[in-house]
Amino acid sequence: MSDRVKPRRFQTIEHGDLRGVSALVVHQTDAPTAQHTFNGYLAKGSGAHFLIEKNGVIYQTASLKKRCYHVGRYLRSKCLATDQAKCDTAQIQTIQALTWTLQIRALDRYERTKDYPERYPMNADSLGIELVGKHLDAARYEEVTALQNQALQWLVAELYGHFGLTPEDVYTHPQIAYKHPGEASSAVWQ
Amino acid sequence: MSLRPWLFGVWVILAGCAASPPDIDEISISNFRSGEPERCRPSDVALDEGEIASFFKRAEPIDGRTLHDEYDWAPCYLEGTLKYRGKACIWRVRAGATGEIECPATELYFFGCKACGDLFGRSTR
Repeated sequence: MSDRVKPRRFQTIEHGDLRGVSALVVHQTDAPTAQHTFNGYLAKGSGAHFLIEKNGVIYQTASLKKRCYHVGRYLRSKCLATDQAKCDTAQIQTIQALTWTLQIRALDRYERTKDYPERYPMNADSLGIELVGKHLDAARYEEVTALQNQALQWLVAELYGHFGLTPEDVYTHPQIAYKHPGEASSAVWQ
Repeated sequence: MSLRPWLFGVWVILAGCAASPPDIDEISISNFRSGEPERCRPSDVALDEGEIASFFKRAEPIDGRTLHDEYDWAPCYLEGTLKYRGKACIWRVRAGATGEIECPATELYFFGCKACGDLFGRSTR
């Protein structure tokens, strides 16, 4: 990567090899500084490949050949969210008759039978980009700063070129998994 | 005279305080809300006041990061009012076995319960 990216690799958040890179997922850390997240990376198994500090400094925190646990347990259904005609109607009706907790497990199993881009990205085929920012309340995270958005746009453009991605391959975390809807909602990458 | 029995008594009192359930009282339910009404329905959080109390008693206080990493954010929830540590507050309990208590001029408190499966979505439709 470019000199603009500061290497700060944490092997504690790497879990085996990536199959490839088909998509990017934008997150927010729920931490006030990069250092808080780095401290967590020393102890915890989940994390992402890049972290962008509030002042726009970009750190690479994991190898781009390694898988990080950044997506979460259960994938949302892409066909349900974007084009219901692409869903298997009978299957979806059966799943939607279940309680919410059983639905999210059943939808996840159904989605994982598909290949990207028919489904949302998983840990095995995507890179995660964290933006430093706190969870404020039941509806909001901190606004992404202008410097973070500039850095995100530059980083995403670099990754488009490197992995042959397009803007359609970039998602926010709550788009693809059952996460706080405010996370990364003010991130702008194009 | 040995101090041991006295110290043991102090330890028992402190341990009792640490293990006591959250200071929650006067729970009342006001609304069910859902951001995805087709998929996350009233039957997914069909709890009465006693069950809301049971949820907060069994749940553990968690920070926002634990909520994010270890729990699923359900788009539907019950909400109401309660007294938390003597203050009038608003609570929400979501179908993903997470809860929030929001009190005036204080932080938002998060709760998660990994052993509350019996309280949520007990029937298929």
